Parts: sequence; C-alpha cells; structure tokens
Amino acid sequence: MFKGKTAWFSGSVGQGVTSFWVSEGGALSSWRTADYLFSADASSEDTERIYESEDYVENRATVFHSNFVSACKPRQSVKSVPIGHYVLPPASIQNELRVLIGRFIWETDEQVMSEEQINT
Amino acid sequence: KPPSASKPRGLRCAGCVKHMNEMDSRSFGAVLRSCRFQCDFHLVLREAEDRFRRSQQLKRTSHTLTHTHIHTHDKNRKSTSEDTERSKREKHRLSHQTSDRCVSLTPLRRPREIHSVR
Ligand SMILES: [Zn+2]
Repeated sequence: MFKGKTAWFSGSVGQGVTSFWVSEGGALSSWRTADYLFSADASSEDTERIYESEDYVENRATVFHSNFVSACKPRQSVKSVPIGHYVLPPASIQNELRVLIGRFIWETDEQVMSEEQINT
Repeated sequence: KPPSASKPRGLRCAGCVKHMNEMDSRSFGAVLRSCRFQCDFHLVLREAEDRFRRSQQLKRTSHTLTHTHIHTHDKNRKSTSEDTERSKREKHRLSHQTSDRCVSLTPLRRPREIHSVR
C-alpha cells in the first residue's frame, strides 16, 4: 500500500503504526527528507521542532496525524482515505480551530476505532 | 453538472478529494494554495496556519534584530534612543501576537448529553 513512499514518525506514534507502514512497503526517513510526516501529538518535542522549521514556515512540511495510516488498514486502500483531512496543526492553534470546525477527523476516528474494537 | 458561481456550503476542495498518491507533506501546502477556493475546513485551517507561520517569522526577525543590536553596542558603546524604541515596539507587537493565539479555551461539545428526556 505504501510502496515507494518515505515517512517520518514522531516518537508519539505507537510502534504498531510504524510497523504497519513498513509491512506495507513504506520506507522510513528523517524528518527533513521524508515525503510524509506523521505525528500523534502536536505538542511532542520532535513535532514542535517541525513547526519551528524553515520548511514549515515556507509551507513545505505539513504534519499529518498518524491515525491516517491506521485508517488505511481496514479499507486496504490509500485512495479511499482523504489525507487532507488528517492535517495535524500546531497545538497552539488547535483550540481556535475547534471553535470553528468542531472536532478534528482524527479525534472522531479514535472514537470509531475503539467502538469497532469493542464490537469485535 | 458545472459548478455554480457562488460557493455552496459543504463543498469539497482539492484538499478534500486528492488522495495520498496525489500529494504529500511537501506538496500539500502548494495544492491548497493553488486551489481557487477551499472548503470551510481547509479555509480556516489555512488561515490559522498562516497566522502561526507569520508569528514564527516574526520571532526569527526579532532574534536577528536583538543579535545585531548587541553587536552594534559592543562595537560602538552607544545606543540611540531610536533603537531602543524600535525594539520596545517589536516586543510589544510580539507579546500581542502570542497572546492572540492562546486566548480561547473552548468547551468541547458533548453530543451524548444533547439527548433530552421528555
Ligand atoms: Zn477541503
């Protein structure tokens, strides 16, 4: 599923997600060179470093929530999961965004996932 | 059907419909920017991120300014009142920017509590 793609995973991302990425053919890389940047916590130190980087300021380093990778698993396709909805913005602007848009998709996903786990 | 001229609510934009093979962390910003309009979600996201970026840039500029000042003072042992005024204003503006970003603590909506019992 992830063949030919490189990703960086924050330390806040669970090992299971990283393993799934690799098992589906994805490669791992440093945060400066990876095609995809994944984090589960915008306020973790390694992720904040990205928000402070020149790449981010120049709009060349969007961080996605690692729940995107988990969401691809049951669907067995990257084309049916809208990655553009999994943007993980800096922690300091998340609250002002919640006022305008409600919950982020990666927050609702967590609920759905845990309900699925209960049912199975 | 051709898209209507006015922007309907709930419309999906390039940020919504392009999948992983069509954009990554490096190109997402450019994809959103090149899109003629954004859906409500991507519009507010882009505006908030842009504001954050501007405040990051301001932080960098002020660091450089402070550094230059120290350097100048070391060399000439003289500080003009104009310099001091400028750096004061810079700091003032910065503290405003920072507090702007952190003011709102919002209560999260709890959909389960909305159900009313007659
Ligand atoms: Zn959109």
